[in-house]
Formats: sequence, structure tokens, C-alpha cells
Amino acid sequence: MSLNHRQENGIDVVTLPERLVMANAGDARAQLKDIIQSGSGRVVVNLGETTFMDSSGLAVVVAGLQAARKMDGDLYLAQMSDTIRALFELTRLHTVFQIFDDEAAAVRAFG
Amino acid sequence: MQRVDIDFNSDPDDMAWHGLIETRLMPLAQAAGLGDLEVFGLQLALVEAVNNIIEHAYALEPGLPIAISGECCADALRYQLRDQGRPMPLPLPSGEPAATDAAGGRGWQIIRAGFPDVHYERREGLNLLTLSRPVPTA
Repeated sequence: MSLNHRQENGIDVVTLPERLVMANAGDARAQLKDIIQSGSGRVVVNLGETTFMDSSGLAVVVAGLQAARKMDGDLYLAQMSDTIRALFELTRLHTVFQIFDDEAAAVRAFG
Repeated sequence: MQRVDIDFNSDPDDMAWHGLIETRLMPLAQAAGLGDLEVFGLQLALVEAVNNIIEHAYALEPGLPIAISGECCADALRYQLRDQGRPMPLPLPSGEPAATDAAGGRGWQIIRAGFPDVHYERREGLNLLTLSRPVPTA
């Protein structure tokens, strides 16, 4: 599994896979960490293709957020489906991430 | 009463069993009249319960048996997970929310959100975890 990644105006935009679960979370976590540490620490994670995520998947984005903030950056989430949003609300993680309806808005929010 | 049984082997690097849960077990929840978000919550709870078996009961060892039976009665939807791994430590986790900055610890919160009734017993070398929830009555 390889995360889809590109840079836009110095911001790392990463698209997570359709399923982010225990089987691929370790790989995704390592890749996301490498991307963040190689960049500016300003990251947008696009969840538009993600239809299923378990607690291992949540741990990937939490680790990404911590890595970004350690670099005085941040990690924003974009294009979350209703079901993924329900998961974030259940685990209260919607209170620690900035969540945007679309990727462009998340990129713009970095100014 | 409707009943469905599935079985597969543990494999921490494989997600094919997700498809079995989705296509074989979730139709029971849909037939019971649960909405899409509720069905998603149950599917997620079952995935977390299987993750626990693979990670803790079987310590990530592949090729070990896991079975799940699902049944829908007039007033309840019930899934029983069976494995031959290490016993679960008791008491079972309460499912209290993890700290928002914690890397892990959300699995039981998700399991208990989907299934308010959780019962565990160890019988003849088997772990039996039964997850139940009421279903809408007609």
C-alpha cells in the first residue's frame, strides 16, 4: 500500500486508502510520518476515498496530528463521509481535528 | 429466527475477513430494521472484536481459527465470536472514552457503543464473546 501524496503551496496533501484498518495501519502510519517529517508540518489528510476505518486507522491520523504539531504545524482532515464522521464523533476525535468539507478549503485554511 | 455462521483464520496482515463480516453478517442487522449508521457501528464493533482476538488472544499469530455466529430474534440481534487463544483478562474494559490525544484504546469504546450487552466466558479452552443489542420492534 502506498499513500497518495502531493504538495500544494508547501502543504502536504495525503489521501488515505479506501480501508484503513489493523492490516494496513502500521504501513500507513510509517508513510504518513515520513511525509510529515520531510515536509513543513502542514498537512491535509483527504478521507474522500475512505469508506471504512477502525481504531487502528484512527491511531494513524492521531499520530499524524501529533507529528505535525511537534513541527509547529497542524493536520487538517477533509472530505469525510457521514460514517467516518460518526466514528470521529463517537470517539470524540472531532474535537481535536479541524475538519473541512473539501480538500481545497482545508488547504486554504493554512493561509 | 435467522442465523448465519462464518469462520476464517487469523491473519494480522489480511483484511479479507472484513468482507465476510460485511456481506454475511451485516444483512442480519439490515433485515432487523437498523439504519445505515447503526449497521456501520455494528460492523465496526465486530471488526474491533476480531482485531482483539488477532492481536491479544492470538498475539498476531496467523492461521488460527476464528468463528462468528450471528442470529436475529424478535427483539435482539446477537453475535457470538469464538476463538482458541489466550483468555481475556477480566473485568472486560468498560469502554470509557480514551483521552483525545491517546494513540490507542478506542476499540472497546467502539464495541460497547455498538453492543450495549457484552458477555464473555471461557469454556473448554474457547473464548466466547457474545455481543447483543435490541432491535426495533414492528
